[in-house]
Amino acid sequence: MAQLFHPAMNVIAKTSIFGVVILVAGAGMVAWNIEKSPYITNQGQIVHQPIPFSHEHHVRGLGIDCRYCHTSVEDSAFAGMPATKVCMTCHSQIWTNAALLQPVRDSWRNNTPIAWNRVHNLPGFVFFDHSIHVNKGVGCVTCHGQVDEMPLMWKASSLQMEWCLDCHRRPENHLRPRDEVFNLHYSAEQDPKHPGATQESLGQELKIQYHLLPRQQMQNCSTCHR
Amino acid sequence: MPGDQSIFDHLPSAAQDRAASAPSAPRYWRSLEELAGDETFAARIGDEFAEGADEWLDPTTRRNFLRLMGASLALGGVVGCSDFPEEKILPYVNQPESVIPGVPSFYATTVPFCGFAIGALAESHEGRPTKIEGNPDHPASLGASNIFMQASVLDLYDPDRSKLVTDAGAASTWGSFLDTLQPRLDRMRDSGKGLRFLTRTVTSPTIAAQMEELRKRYPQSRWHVHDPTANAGCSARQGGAPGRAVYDFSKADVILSLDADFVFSDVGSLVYARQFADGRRREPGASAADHVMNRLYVIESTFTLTGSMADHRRALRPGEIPATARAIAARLGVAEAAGSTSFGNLDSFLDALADDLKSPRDFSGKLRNGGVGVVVAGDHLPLAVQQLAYAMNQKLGSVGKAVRYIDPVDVQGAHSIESLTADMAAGLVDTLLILGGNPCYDSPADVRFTEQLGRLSTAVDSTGHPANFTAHLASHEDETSFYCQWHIPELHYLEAWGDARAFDGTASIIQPLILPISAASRSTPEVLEAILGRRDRGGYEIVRAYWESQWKPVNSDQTPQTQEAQATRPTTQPHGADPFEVRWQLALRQGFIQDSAFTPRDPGGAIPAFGPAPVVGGSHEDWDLVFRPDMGLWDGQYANNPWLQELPRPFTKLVWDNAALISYRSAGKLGISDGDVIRVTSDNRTLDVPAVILPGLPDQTLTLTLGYGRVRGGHVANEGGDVVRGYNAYTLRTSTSAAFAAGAKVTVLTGERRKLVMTRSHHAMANLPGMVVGGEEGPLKPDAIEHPGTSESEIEIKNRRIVRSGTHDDFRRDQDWVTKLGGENEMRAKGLSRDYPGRKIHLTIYPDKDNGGWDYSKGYQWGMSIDQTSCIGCNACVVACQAENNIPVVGKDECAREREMHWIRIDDWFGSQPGGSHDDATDEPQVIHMPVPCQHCENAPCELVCPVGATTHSVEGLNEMTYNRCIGTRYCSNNCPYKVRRFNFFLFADYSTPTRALQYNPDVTVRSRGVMEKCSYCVQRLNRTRMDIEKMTVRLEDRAGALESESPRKAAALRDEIITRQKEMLAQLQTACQQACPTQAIWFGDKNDPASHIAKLKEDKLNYTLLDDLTTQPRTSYMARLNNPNPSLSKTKRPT
Repeated sequence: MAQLFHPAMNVIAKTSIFGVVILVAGAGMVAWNIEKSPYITNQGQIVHQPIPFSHEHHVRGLGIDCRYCHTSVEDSAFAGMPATKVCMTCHSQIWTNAALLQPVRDSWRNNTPIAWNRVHNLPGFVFFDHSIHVNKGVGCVTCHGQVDEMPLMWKASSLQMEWCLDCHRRPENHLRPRDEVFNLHYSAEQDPKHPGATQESLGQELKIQYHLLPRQQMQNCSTCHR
Repeated sequence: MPGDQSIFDHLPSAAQDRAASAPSAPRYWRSLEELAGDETFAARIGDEFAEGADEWLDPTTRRNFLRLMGASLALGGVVGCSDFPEEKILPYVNQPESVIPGVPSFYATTVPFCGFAIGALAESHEGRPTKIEGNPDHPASLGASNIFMQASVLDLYDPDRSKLVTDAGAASTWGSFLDTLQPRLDRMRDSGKGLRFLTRTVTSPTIAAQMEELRKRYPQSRWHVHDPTANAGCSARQGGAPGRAVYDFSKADVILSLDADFVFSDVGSLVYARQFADGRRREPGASAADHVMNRLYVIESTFTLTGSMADHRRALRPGEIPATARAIAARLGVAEAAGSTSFGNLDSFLDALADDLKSPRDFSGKLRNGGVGVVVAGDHLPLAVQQLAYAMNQKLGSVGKAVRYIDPVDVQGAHSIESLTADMAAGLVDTLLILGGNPCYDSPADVRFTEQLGRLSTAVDSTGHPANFTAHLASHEDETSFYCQWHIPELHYLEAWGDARAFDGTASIIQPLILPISAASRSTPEVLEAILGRRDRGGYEIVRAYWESQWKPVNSDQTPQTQEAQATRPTTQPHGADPFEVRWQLALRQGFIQDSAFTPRDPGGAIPAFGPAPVVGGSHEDWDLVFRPDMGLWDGQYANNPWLQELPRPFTKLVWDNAALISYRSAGKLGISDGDVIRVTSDNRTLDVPAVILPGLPDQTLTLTLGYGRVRGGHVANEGGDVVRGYNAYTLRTSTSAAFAAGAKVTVLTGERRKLVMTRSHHAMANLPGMVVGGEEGPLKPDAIEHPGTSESEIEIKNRRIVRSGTHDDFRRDQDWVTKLGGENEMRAKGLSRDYPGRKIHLTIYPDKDNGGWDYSKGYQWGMSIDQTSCIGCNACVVACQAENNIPVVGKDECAREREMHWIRIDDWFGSQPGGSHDDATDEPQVIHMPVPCQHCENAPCELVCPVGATTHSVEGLNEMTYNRCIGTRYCSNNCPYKVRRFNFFLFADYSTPTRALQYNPDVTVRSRGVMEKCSYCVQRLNRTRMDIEKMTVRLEDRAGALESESPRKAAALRDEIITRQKEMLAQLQTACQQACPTQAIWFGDKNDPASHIAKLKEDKLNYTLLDDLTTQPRTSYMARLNNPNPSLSKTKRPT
């Protein structure tokens, strides 16, 4: 019987065997990276709002504290969104005719809430609590990024579980003194109250001072899922 | 018994002697099938779920299957690639000062139950009530709640609630209702001829004042009251009785209940149950000799929860109870009952009982100093029996101690529904306002109210217009609305202002938490106020104005009008504040008006002499009927509440249906088994009912439960269509036989069966052959009963000592009695084994903390203890858990496949009474209620088999369930020996009904299809408390740190305060089941703190864990049931 395959086919056979492996692995890598990319997580993508509110202007420009608007961040799981009345404390006096602020005035006049689009959206089975993080020395900037440099809001972190666990495993990399939580430009290395400290050394110290839970417990499922 | 020998032959001889003299170990079963060793039952316990539970049984063709598969693949693809769903945030326009978004607030309000007040705290999430808890300060709650309170929050969001005022079925408005009514009122000005009101029991002082004003303005108008379950309790509320009885069981040493279900069915039951349990409870660690325990005798005509708690119980036919009461009274020396005291075969029992009541003794047989016995008679018993009970209490000296008599709490002066119907038939009624209630469904059958109402509503005058005016205020368009011209939606108590009085007279304010879901809804006070011509006044103004008028005289020199006007003078008043405002705000904050309970009155009046009470209906041919409210739907008003429909009823564990309960022997006589339909004929009325056999009922007596057979109940009550669930016992109930009917006939409708779903054999814990266990071994043979349709099974069901129960005697004789019941392994583990004296042997192959296992000695270590001596089996924990944890209902068909989702089930174990023989068990059983949630094993079998790590162990000892990881293999549930895991076979959670979603607890995930779930020890509450403690700690430590340089002493004091506050906050932590429990049978806490109550309970000698031999090391443990039988009545039959 004549040979079915030409000897040159060997090359093709070998190539295709290895090729398939590489292709599958490659496809896996692509999927893995897509899954973690902003394409899926929306990280770094501007979320448009009914009012183009600028954190850059209000925080950096005017120096308003985070808690002026996000009132419940120290006491509740939910940081709180400002009631229309909070906007109107200033905007009944300044920019009273600005077209951009029409939705605020409408809301105030008609007693209807402003429908903001959620930027940081966790799934229903994840229970994040702002208050415990803020009280234990996790700065706003750690998760939300340099909000004072965001003219429009986007999320600075992926909010994927891996990212959460990163900090729950090694909180010392992110802890800061409680009175610096709302400081968006804090750095342990330049803290005059802790001369010579590094983030690592200060973090280890604060971890004990603020009674952080044992590392194993911070990773327990029921810490976030219930 | 050889089995006994094999276990106890290692014991030192003294222990052996004790073991030998221990009473026979009673056997316990949950259903008769189990007792009889029925094949199907035995086969079933080996399986994880009932046969077919994991199969798709609904008819599905190949074509349909492919279509569904295609659709789900397509959807799966879409879902997999979807973006994050977009969500909006809607902040307040003007945020109320007191609201912290995300932190629930609690408001005091009042739950009306049978017209009486029970104080509650309603949990509100940003203005949305999600859960009801008992108000710890309220005298009718003491922090506990019952199933009706827990389930009432779901009623608020019931999508079937009526939303519109209707006129002859057509949409109308409140305004046009009043405009139509007004000319009639004008016409009957100053007379009120033909004007009638029909309500349920009213205790509201506001409504009473309105009724009084109406009576003055319309002197000929009349107010009628109809309440089908007004006599379900034990408070002697009938006219002519010595007044309303209010008990204090904490002062009673011996209690006799004459057909009175005081732990569940009375409006004061939450308090009574607590007092009763407190009188039996033992301080953990206290020696047996120091323990005092009350003793309960129950003589009853059906099986009630009170009966299940009895130390001695006798089931008698209802007609025999008055005569028994008289025989007891005669023995106690009540002069009016003198005469014949003999009562046949009960004589020796009654002698011992009377002796015990007269002179309660402690365990050593000495007279108890100041001990007192009390007699409790059911409200439904004839007036003579209630007067006898009063006379007996007088004789026993318990009046003023264990019972006091007060004025009636419900507003008097109303007429009956019988007189209303008679007047309607006589043409004396032309304007009828039915305010609440559902008389067309629940009025007595002989009164024919519906017929008369229909005539009234349909009559037309000469011009063709309706001649009469009928209106119904109700939450649903129900049976009565159908026969009325007008329907007005009724406000739920969480939407309305109002007031009511509690069982002891305490006035309580009903405070709404939410604006009416339908703006058309009105409350009874609002309707009455509009009829009084003040249309614009809302509920708030009405209630406030009433109390303002009541409290005014306090400030002037007039005589106060009511008791509480005198009693509640605030001691401190802010300078310049309006004194009324101060008191009003205090009443709102507390939920009740302080010191407004009625003061005891001297009952006075002569007790009439009692002739020999005839024994009625005792014939062996005729049947007696006992009517009782359903222990889920009550009188039928909760028929559209799915939580209560799917609540396994005590004893039978029947869901979604009612049945006629029949004794084992009577069923045998008729040759019927569970589900067979019998025809009951009483007074020429017939009703076909399915029967369920229940041990412990009197023979020739059927217990019929009210509340089912609703025709227009709503989607849940009628299965979304016109299916009528269960039977309507009201069709047999007449005005003279509200509680009992004698002389009924029963015939068997051969071959006719109804499908009843009873969950009593579901999720059974049992032995499998081949498992080596401690305890009494040996087969449980069907030697005691001949149960129809059973056959002997080869499978041995070994006694694993799941239930441990005995008498106080057993415990006093041997403090280690409970451990010894568990067998050799358990004794080894607790250092009681003779082989290893004093050494606790680590029995598992898993490492302990010294060998690399997790160290459970640090931080919080959660644990639960469940006391079977206190648990009354009332199901409050089951519904509370359902409300707290967003647990879905699954429906009757799914329940039949063992797919019910409750995270905590109550196993009712039947057994012979302590010291009693196996044969007694079907006639006079003892019932032990055992709530079974997840046991949170330290060596959890479920965790080992999960392929995806969805169920794991936490550092604090929780067995965690992570829904988002679960892929639904169900290996965990298969490996769980306690059968506490529940699987979402379908999408049981309701995501689609808009109002339903409002009830969900936002702190707990709403589970989707295909995931396993189970008790989490309310981890959301644990996490919240832990975080609150930590936040408080770091904040105060910061402050202490700042104080350090200034004043070290102040800093040290602050640090001490932190510790105190931590303990306080931890002490306030309760799981939902614990918080609801009326008897505090469930206790939860950090067992690592040796000073905590839970740690003491765990160390107690009565503490044991279920299936201990598996070495799962459960965190949930049980306290053995202790009974306190009268030594002179205990049977000496004790096998050696």
